[in-house]
Order: sequence, then structure tokens, then C-alpha cells
Amino acid sequence: MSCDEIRRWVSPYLDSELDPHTNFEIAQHLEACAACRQVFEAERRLEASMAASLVTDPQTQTAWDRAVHRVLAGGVVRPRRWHVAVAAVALFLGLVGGWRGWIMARQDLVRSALRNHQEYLANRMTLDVQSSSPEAAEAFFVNKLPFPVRCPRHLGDQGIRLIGARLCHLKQVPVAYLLYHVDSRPISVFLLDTDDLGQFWQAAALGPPDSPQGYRFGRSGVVTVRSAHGVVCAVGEVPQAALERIVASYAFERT
Amino acid sequence: MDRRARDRFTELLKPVARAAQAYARHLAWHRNDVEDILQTALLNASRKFGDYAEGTSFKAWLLQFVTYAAFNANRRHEQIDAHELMADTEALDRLTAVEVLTHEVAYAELLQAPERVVGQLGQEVQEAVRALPAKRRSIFLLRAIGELSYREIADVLTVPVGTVMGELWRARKELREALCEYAQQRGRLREGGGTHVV
Ligand SMILES: [Zn+2]
Repeated sequence: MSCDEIRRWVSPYLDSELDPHTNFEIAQHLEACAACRQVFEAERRLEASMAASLVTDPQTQTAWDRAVHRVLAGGVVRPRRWHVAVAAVALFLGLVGGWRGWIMARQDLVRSALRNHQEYLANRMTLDVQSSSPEAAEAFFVNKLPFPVRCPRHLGDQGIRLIGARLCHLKQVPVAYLLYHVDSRPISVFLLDTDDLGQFWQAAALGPPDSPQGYRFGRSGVVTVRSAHGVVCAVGEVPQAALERIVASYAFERT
Repeated sequence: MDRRARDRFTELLKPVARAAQAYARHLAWHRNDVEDILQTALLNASRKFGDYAEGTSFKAWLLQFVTYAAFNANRRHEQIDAHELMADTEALDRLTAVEVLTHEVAYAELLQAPERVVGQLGQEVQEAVRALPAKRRSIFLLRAIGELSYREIADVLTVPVGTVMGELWRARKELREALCEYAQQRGRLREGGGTHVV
């Protein structure tokens, strides 16, 4: 083979993927031809340094650790119908027996949302769509979620500014995520289907339909409500009243 | 998964964790999808763990789940993908003979000091990889990061070995072209050592 022909095989040769015969022929040529030897060696180094630059990073490492933990802890098991029953039984056991601590340790919707809010802020997440228009956010979610997303129209008038939206997951449940700002402090809003509530332990803690429930965790507040249109959960380091206004708009205002 | 299976699964995950992470990170179109991809892949793998045959490559087995989770996550960005691909082809068509020649000079210089050029263009290497069409990108990454054999890659993607070989060759060619172009743009090839920020 000529030098040109030999060089055509550089890729599979370096990957040790050639048949023994061709492999031998190339090895022999390389032994005799310094020019080709140099090219093959440079290609090997180029490929190796490219591979070495394609590493993981701390953010991915953290994502991996979280995913492994969630999967191994068994917290993300479907199907949901069966899971609702399990959640109910577990909740019952939690109230009457020594299982309480174990169940309380499980993430419920509120903690899950709170953790997501904090994680997303810490990672400086980018939004799938950046827009202050409720219509644009609604349009983004069409066909991406199993339920329709309706965004209130007049929050902006109350100083609650829509920043953008993205698709996200709380414990494997697909949810709509909307980011608002009040006095440039971020508020995360999560919307999910009522059917998916069974995925969360302590779903009963959400309270009766149409009655907003508030929680405080240090500086962070969480307000949730479930209505005929689904479940809304707002999280932020803002006065509780602002969160309540947002969930009420989502739950009760129809456009 | 019973406890013994879970322990075995955990044990097998450890040595392949870094490769799986790097693969997901560079295969994902969107930075924010990486965690979802990893979680979906791990969840599906844990459920199918009974199908894993001890003694075969666990890395290849796991990377298949990562591949499909990533393809699904990337599907939402498919339109962008197709669009960029078209733009790319147009750019290639417009290359003049002079440009082809300078590319060749740049390529020769790239081979003179591959580590230095790649080191200086770390970010651009990642961009160039992300610009590859989905399947080509996956094949390149399975080889570069996963260090899988052509046969293993073919099995992961259920494509013929010949396809793997051809796509890998194209991926490498495109990456080299991109590197030359970036390096030329920044004038780094001729400048010798040192890091320059333009
Ligand atoms: Zn030669």
C-alpha cells in the first residue's frame, strides 16, 4: 500500500479494529516509513487529548450522585395507581406506629419543590424560554406536558414579573416550572397534575382542595394549593403574602 | 430490586460513573437536561438489571440506557439540530480552494502540537462535538469516552459495524476541520505556547 492508502486506515488502526492481515501490513509500513509513523503518532495524541478534554464536571458529578441516590432509595417508582395505595398505607402507618420517622424522612412535594428551587438557583439554571409574556410560556408547554398550562395574566400589575419557563421534574414527575421575580427576588412556581400527587409522600399534608397551605423553612416560604385545575406550588425568599397571591391566581383565575 | 441486586448494581456503577457522567454531559443538547438524563438512565437500568449478563461489559450495557435517555431528552431540540446541520453544510459548500489549502496547512500545524492546541481550545472542542449530528456524536463519544469497541458501539445503537466505522471517520474529520477553523480564527497555531484569550 502507498502512504496515502495507509493513512486512510489511521482511524480503525488506532482503535485496534482492523483484521490481522491489514493490521500487520500497516505495522510493517510504519516501521519502514518515518513520515507515516509521525502522522499516526500525532493522530493518536490528538485523539487522546480530545478524549481527555471531554470529562465530567462537578455539576454533572452532583447530578449523578443525586440520581443514584434517588434511584437506589426507590423514591421514583411508578406505576402511580399502586403507589397511591402504598402512600396511603404508609401515611396511616406513620400516624400510628414507629414508622413515623422513616416516613417523615421521605421527601414530600413541599420539600421536593423547595430543594429544586434552591438547586436551580444555585446552578444558575437557564430557562427553556425567557419571556415576560404568559402567552409565550403557555405556548412553550403545549404538547410537552400531559396537562394544559394556564398562566395568570395580571400578576405583572402587582409587581410579580414573569421571567421565563422550563420543563422540569420533581421526583420523576414532569412539571411546569415558571420563574417570577418580585423586587428582583426569584420565585419558583411548580405546576403539576392532580393525578401525580400520589407520587409524593404526605400528599395529604397539602390540605383540602382550594385551601392554600403555607410553610416556612428559614428564609424560604412555600405555599401550595390544589384546585380543580391541578396543583400549584410557589417557593421563594419573599413574604408569604406574595406567594399566596401567585398560587391563588394560578388556582382560581381562569383566562 | 432486592438488596443483593442493589448492592451489586451499586458496586458495578462505581468504576463506570465518570465515563457515564462525561458521556451524558457531552451527549446532551441542553445543559439542564443532564440530571434528567442520568436519572432516567439509572432508573431504567436498575429496573432492567435482571437482564444484565455478568461477565459482559457493564459500561456498554449502562451507556445504552444513557444513550436513549439523552436521545429522548434531545428530541425537543431536534429542530435546532436540523437547522444547524443545514447551516453547516452550506458553510462547507462555500469553501473556496484557497480556504481548503489554508485548512490543510492548519491541519499540519495541528498535528505538530495536538495537546497544546486542544488544551487551548478546550471549550471549542466541546462545542464542536455538540455540533455533530446526534448519532455521529454518540458514536464518537462512545469511542472517545466509553472506549467501547466498534462491535459494542454497534450493539448499543443497534446499527451495523460498518456504520460505526463510517460515522466515526466523519466525526473525526469534522472535529479536525472545526479545530483548524477555531485555531485559525484565534491565530493560535502560529503563536507558539502560552494561553491567549481573545
Ligand atoms: Zn508512508
